[in-house]
Amino acid sequence: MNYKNLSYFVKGLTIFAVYFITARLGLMLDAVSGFASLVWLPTGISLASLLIWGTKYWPAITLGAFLANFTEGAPILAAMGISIGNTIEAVLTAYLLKRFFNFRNSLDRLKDVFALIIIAGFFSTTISATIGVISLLSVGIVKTSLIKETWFAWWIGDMISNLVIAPLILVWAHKSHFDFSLKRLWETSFLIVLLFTVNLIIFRGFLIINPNNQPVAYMIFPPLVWAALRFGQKGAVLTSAILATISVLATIFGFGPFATSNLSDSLLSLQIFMGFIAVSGMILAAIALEKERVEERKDEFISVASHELKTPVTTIKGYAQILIAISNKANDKKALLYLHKIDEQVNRLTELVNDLLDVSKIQSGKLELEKERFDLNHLIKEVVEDMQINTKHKIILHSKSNISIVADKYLIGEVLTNLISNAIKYSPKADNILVTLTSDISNNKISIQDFGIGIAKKDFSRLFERFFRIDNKIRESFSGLGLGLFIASEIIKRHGGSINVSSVKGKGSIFTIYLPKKISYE
Amino acid sequence: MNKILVCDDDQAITEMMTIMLETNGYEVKILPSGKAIQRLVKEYLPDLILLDIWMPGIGGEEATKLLKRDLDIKSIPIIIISALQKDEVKAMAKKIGADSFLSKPFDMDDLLKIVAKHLK
Repeated sequence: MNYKNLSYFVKGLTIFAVYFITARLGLMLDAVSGFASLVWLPTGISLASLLIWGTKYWPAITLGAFLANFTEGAPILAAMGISIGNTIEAVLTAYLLKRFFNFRNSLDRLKDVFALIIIAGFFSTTISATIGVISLLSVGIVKTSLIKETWFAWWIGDMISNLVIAPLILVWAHKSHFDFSLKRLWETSFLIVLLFTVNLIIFRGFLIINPNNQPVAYMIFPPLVWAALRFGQKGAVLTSAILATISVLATIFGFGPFATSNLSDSLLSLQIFMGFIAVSGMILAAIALEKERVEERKDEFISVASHELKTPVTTIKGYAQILIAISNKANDKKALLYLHKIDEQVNRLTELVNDLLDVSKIQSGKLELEKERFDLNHLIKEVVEDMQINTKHKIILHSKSNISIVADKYLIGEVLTNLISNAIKYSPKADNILVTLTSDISNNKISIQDFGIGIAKKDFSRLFERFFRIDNKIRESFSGLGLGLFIASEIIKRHGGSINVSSVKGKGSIFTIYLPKKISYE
Repeated sequence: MNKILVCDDDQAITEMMTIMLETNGYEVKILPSGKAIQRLVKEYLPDLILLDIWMPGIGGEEATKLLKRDLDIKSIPIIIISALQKDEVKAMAKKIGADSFLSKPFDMDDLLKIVAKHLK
């Protein structure tokens, strides 16, 4: 026997064994008319196996279904009918999903979840329930008066299996990323505690809450929503499966809001509820994942586009500077004036591209601090001297002592440049900009004061938001994307500090950077 | 005359840099990819290498590591040039053992200054 045949045989045998055992378990649970079980794991297991390993494993299902029903006492013809129905159900679902819906086992798109609900939840279960009930009817096991009840129990059992068990296997068998990091450990622990507490309340009653009250079951939604939004499809399907296991066991033993004197009645109302839970969880997780992917793609696009933009910008800048050198030699004043204008605009373009890159890095959590020890006073002096070259404003620096800190020197320099150039930009008629470095017990404080147009109080809180631009006639004449302050505040936040603003309209603004002396990095 | 090897996959950039460097008295050789850079450096024996980071095939990162491992040529200064953000290029230069860095777009003066500094 070669490896390929051996692998087929072993996998087939596994499907058969798991199918047989879970089927016998299901049939023990007060199956309607003896064979229509409301808790029917095999349907989901067979669908998941065929979706993962391929439809060629159908004989394992046929054999498992036949033997489980036959050994439970079904006449040979009925057992054959049932097994054919169950096989068609699994093979047809797997085929339709792959062929017409380009189905992905990870269920990370909304269309995969909907395809599973429609095809596996409603369509193919109808076929299996119908063939099964006809088989039992033909040998006289189902009484005509119980046809409706038996069919419905069969259908619900299969549907829940396809909506809870199949997704659990499919999603967890898929090699998609699941964050097991220590950081997530706390959150995972809290979620698990919440999930089990909620289950305890629902099924055993807790404090003043009466467990026989059905609305108490809806308490499952907070942990389900949490799991779906924060832990993706793996979190959602696992939460549904844990809830399904606990609730089925509790209901069988007579606990909780679904338990009545008749087990199959109890299980029926529980399973209908479970269906809604499972579907809600999967849809929510898929939406969250789709949103996340859109965000990622956007950041990636900004990053690639910005890098691509920089290449032609480099060439334009280069040739402008080559021409400046030539015009200098020829002493062509007009050409020099125009070429400097080109160079200036290229610098502006570069700044915009750099801002976009910074934002996309901050958004995707890729901004890394390069910590080094340096003198803050010295850095401020350097920045001020650099900025002084290109402005008619007089930048006045007040600082006394040298202050040695450990931080990202380059990024802190960027923040200072940004705030000082804002001060220059928004005080076109003023003469001075004041830059002050002081420190108290806990913070080093750098304040940048201008005497320009100022900012209305109502805009303070939104000033540091991404793409925020003050909406009024005066500021409309100033260009920019509204990214500078967002970037600056994010950089300072990463250093454990903050930026504060105070301003009087028409009088000017003061931006103060607070850098904690013991810098804690977020 | 000092010889400079410029390795970048973008022709517009290499043409421009050639003009900048040649008009300032350097001999320039262009290499449009990182492929065979080690052999070429050994043949041409430049006094300085200007190297782009993002190139198809062998990029600047790999090329620098290759050249700096080769005892015959490891003393030739390598200046990496990239469209990455300034702080990123700086960190990259440190990481891979390049002698210096420039981030695109750069000033002609900055290019000439950095080249002169490393040719001393």
